[in-house]
Amino acid sequence: MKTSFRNIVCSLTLLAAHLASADVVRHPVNAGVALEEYQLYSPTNNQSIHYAPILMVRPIGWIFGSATVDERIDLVFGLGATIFSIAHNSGAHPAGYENDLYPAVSMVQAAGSYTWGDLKDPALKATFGAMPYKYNPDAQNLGEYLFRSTPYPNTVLNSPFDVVNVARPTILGGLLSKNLAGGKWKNDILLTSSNSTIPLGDFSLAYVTSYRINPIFEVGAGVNLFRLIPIQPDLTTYKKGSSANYNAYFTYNGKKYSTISDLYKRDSVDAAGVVHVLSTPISDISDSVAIALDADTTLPAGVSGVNHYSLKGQMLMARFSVDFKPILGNNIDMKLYGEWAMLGAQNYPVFYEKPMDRMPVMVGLNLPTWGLLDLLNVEGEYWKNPYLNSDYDMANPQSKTGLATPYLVPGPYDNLRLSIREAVKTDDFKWSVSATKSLNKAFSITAKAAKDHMQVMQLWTNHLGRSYNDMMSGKDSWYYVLRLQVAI
Amino acid sequence: MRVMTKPVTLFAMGLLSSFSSLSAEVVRNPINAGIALEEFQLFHPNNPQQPESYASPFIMVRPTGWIFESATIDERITFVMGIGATTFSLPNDSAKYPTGGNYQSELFPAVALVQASGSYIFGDLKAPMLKVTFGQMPYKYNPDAKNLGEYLFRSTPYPNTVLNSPFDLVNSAQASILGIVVSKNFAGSHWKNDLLFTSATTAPLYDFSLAYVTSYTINPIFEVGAGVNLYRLIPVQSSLTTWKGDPGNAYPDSSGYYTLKGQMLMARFSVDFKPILGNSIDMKLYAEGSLLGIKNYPKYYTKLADRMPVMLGLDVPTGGWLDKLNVEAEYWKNPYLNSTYHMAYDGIGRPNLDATSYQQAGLSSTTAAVKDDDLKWSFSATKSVSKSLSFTAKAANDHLQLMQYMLAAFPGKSYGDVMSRKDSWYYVLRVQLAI
Repeated sequence: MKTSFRNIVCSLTLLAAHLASADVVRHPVNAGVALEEYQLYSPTNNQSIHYAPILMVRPIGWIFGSATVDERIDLVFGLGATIFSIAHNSGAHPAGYENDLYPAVSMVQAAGSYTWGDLKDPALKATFGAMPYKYNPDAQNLGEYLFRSTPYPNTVLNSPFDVVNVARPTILGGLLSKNLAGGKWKNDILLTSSNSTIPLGDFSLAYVTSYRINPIFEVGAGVNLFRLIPIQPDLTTYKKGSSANYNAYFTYNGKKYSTISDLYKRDSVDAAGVVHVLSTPISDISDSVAIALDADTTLPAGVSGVNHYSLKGQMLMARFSVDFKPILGNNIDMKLYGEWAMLGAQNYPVFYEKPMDRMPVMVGLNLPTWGLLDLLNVEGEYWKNPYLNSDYDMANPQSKTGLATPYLVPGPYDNLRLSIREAVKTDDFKWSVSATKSLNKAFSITAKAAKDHMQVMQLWTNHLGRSYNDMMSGKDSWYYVLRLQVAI
Repeated sequence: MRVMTKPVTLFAMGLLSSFSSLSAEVVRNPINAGIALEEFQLFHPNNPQQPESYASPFIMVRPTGWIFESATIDERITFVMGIGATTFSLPNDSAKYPTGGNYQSELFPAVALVQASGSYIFGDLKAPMLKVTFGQMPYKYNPDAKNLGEYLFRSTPYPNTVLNSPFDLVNSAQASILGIVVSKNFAGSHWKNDLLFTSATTAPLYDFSLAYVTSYTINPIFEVGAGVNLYRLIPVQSSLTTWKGDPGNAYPDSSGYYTLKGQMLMARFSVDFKPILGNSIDMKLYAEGSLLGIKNYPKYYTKLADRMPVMLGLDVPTGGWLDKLNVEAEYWKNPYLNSTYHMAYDGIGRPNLDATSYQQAGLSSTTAAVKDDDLKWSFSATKSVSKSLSFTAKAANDHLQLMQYMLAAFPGKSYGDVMSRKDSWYYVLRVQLAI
């Protein structure tokens, strides 16, 4: 024991001495500024209420310092800053916090890496920290599902601070990269810690791979064992605590039911917003089970198989791209690509019985512009998910909804004139059109119009926070953004 | 029409050709960074919105730090990105122990983007045909103003207000704007012209204003300047800029509603005595006057003179003992409280007539004219000990805002001038180290 401790101390001393005399190459600072003007049409809040059409103008700045130490160690540290305001409800005067601009400064990257073996063709590369991770190099807006989705509930959401360059989640953790076949076959193993949705800190294990068959075709695939190692298992699979009783399902007369009794009560909502209520025996049973679970008392007669939904899940991804340049010529910048994901490989009763509902599919096309633009891109996505795209309940368990169940609060559904039994269809199809023109190496202009998975910052009862929901869920929801950027 | 086409085409071709190179030459400028420590004490500040009076005297100590990165690309494109940081606390209520519930027992960090701007120069680099700057940036049209003045971009016409940022105690005579500035100089740069298209950073947010600012250096002694700001010319949501949802925003005779839109004018001059008295006599007299809203509206905005702040400043010669010794004074007859509270929170274009706020300012009735804040003053002195180390001392009764506790809410700016009482004033001592 004594010997091994001495060895560790010696090793650390040698490492420290080595680093002290290390050859450090400081890279030029990477910095930039941008000005964005964007306008949201028919955005909806967490209650499916339309916000006023919002025009916002915001400056953005960033600065990244990086260095290479002894050729093998790289570090990147980046800060980003902007200002933001929060949306207000249509027809009302902005209140309180809705009248101000707020500063937002954040660490956007803090990553270190070590390269083993040949520097040009590494045996292995390990990276750790907080960093952007992009496995689909073609995705401009939609896609990149593996690290910006959750399986149960099924959600896909963008960061509330990115309107342009959104297809790029930030991960927190470690990444091992190994390329084979002369760099054609790329492989990443990721151990990530949950940093955007609660319960925070849960570890997920993921594997992402891609293979370039030839200059035309590339394919890729991946799996994310989401929350494989929970930090507090009782939160990840929430069975006890406030509203945990609504995170459950049970068997009654051979059929599976949820403890969210509204599912069996609220039949429909008419055009005037009047809720038509059903009186069914199963809604009473559902209520009784919820009460029994809450009070830890005996379940109603005939009820068995009580179980709870979990936030854990396995997400799969596959993608392809076809680059037409080798066929049509180097001046024809045309690429077709697609990505498919399954957000939760396992079915669960009541809400997660149809795999097709958990499968977003996106297709994108880079259109040739013969040098007029750097990029002209169109993307479309179909995702049948019959529920609202919101992770609100994951963060805020509340009465009559469950943590890993879909967001089934009656209010937002009432405002959509839907019963929570009915499918939300207005957000099944998403689209995005974007164009970028660089006027030189540093100065570029981007225009984008989209109906995507945008979140914004919004006012909650006592704080400002992200909206937890897809603002572009309404039938007529869309936005445009114009961006000027100077960067080095 | 044909005649016009040619210059436009040439201009466009010139623009495109100037951008044609994709292998840009980037010159990274040295990082500009600095730190400062400020100690300041407020005497008899008034609490613009809350029923409780601030404790007096009230002392605060705060560190400030900043870092700016900038670069020039292909000689024509420049960008600046800067982040500033400080800590702040909230003034506590008089004769009460500061409470955590009011956030008055804590120091809060404040980190913000203070500049993110890019610019492009057209034409000759030394005498540009045009310069376009966009983003968030400080904008200062009155190079002489140390504290007071600079009305065009830190005032509102209806209600009539002039307020400083709650984070700047020293170097407060500059506004931070968000938008685009097109600059064009004539007559060998004697005649400077800026056209500004700015987006509102106070509620209603993002309304667009169009402004023109000009100055002319007649000779090394005299400089004159003028400007106009068509404030909120293009509202983003017209219904908010002219809010009809609150009877409190209606004219007393109910014939219409007050609007936050307005036109503000400015004129200024400076007389530099150096060419007369000699280079060692650093003496300058300058002044700025403004009309905050050229149009009269019923009851509260019937006298132009009430909306005309006028400031006068003097750089006093020190024979090289100090970098700068400055005195400024302002007279502004505005009979109402200098407060943006109801504008920001309720879209109200009439003055703030809250009884509580009037009581805080030492008045028993909202019909009485607020006179104690008509005269403002400022003394400041700066001494550089080396190229990077400097000391500043300042005493003032100006348009200071603070961060404060808002009822049932997180800390926010005071939305009002905390120096509105008869005996309100403060001093600041600042040590600064900057490169």
